[in-house]
Amino acid sequence: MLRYREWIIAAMLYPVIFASIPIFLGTWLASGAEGASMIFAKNVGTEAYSTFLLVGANMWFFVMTALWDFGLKLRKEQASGVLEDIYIAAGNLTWPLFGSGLFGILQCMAKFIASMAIGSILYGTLRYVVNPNFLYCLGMLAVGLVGVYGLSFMIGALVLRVKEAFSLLVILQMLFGIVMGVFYPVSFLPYGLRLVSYALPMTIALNDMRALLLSTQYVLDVNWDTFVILCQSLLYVTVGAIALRRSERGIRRGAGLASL
Amino acid sequence: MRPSRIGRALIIALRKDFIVALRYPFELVGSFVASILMVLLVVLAIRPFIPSAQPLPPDFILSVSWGGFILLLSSSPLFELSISVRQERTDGTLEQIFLSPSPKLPLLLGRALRSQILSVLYGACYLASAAYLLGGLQFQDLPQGIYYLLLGIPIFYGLGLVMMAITFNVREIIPTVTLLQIGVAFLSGFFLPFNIMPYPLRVLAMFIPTSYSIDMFRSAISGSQPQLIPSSMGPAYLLEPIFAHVLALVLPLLGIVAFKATVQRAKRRGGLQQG
Repeated sequence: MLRYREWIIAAMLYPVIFASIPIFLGTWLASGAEGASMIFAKNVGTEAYSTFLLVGANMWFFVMTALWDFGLKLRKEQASGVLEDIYIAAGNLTWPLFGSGLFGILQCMAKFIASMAIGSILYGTLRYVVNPNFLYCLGMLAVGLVGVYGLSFMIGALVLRVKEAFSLLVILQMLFGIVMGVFYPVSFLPYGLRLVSYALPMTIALNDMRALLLSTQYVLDVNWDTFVILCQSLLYVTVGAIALRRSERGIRRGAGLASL
Repeated sequence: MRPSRIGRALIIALRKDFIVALRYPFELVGSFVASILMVLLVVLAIRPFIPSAQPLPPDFILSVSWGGFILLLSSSPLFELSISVRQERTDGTLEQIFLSPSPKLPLLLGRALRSQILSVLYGACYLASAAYLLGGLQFQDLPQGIYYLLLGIPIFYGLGLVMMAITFNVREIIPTVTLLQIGVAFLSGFFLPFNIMPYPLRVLAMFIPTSYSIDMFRSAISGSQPQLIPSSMGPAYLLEPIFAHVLALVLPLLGIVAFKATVQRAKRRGGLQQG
């Protein structure tokens, strides 16, 4: 990461820019910031629309990062023909994967703090972020991200099979943006889609992080939600690891890891 | 170098890239799906700001629809050009290209041309979906709008060539080109007309070369006056077309000069593989 410092700056700025587009469009539609606050409060339950959108944009960015980092990394190794070398090596892949996931989570937490600070200063909403609940929010983010990395293992398994990683990841990132409720509450979605949304690893965490900072509604209540997020994350990691292992075995039995 | 040779190199590069692209049909189809999902995301993102039972303003629909189209259109010059150089460099094939006697720039431009053709198709898909979901598009002066849209393309390519030249000198270009693309989209008023931008952003927008043609494009299709240059600086309807035409001529030349100078410098320094 330190070798590519440009990424650090970009990672702090991307979510702020992502959030800025709906913020400006919304302000335009509502004929000014005051009107936007009022309409947003009526529709969503909080007038702090910029903080609401900043939290969502950050979360979306983390999901994208996890998917692209892992999915595309595997595809690149596969295309450049070094994936076989990695699998032939006499080591256990579990611990490197665990280490890279843990690093990813810590990195996301640092980026979240920086990006929320930049965005909140820019939009003058620092008061919503500088409060003790922000620490709880960070904890929830960390637990939720475990599930996201589990999901990225599953996507990695799929990429090894499908081999057309780019479009798959672009579609998934858009789908997650829509289904997770990145720029709106999940209650805006039809009932069936809402159920799919809650099954995703970050939806409940995102909803509750907003609830902690902006006093919007929890899914159940904060304790139950935390428990559900924890269970979901463990489930996603376990299923993700199994899927990845199965995919590797399947490919080893077939044409080989580097087959294009 | 003879123009026919440059043209031939461009066509060969384009053909090669299309053959590669056809090998991955899911990539082709997937991008159409992604452009429809992008519209859906925008439509849902603005819902919390809409008071009940109020239709969307026509200029808002125009901005959001054409904004996405221009964003997709600009991705080839602003993103693909640099990424293709980076790809060659990480694959270790960049020096091979420069050792061959074929013209280099057309070979690299051929890659962007393939994605340019595809991005026009993806953009059209986005535009059709946006028109359907947001409630139809109205145009005041479509031919003039298309003219300014086309005038913007050499400006995008000029910027893209400058970025491609920078790619040779930095270790990692992806964050920079992504920020450039998003920054240009944001500040050139792809989605937002300049009159609703905060003043500091509007001042910044005046230094982005693509802003003038985009503003003229918006002005033509919506029938409104150009908004970027404040009246205190002079008549915008006169100055903005002049700036747009001058930039469309100057920027591609600047890009070619920057690219050639960088390549010469890299050759003198003894290598292209800085990654």
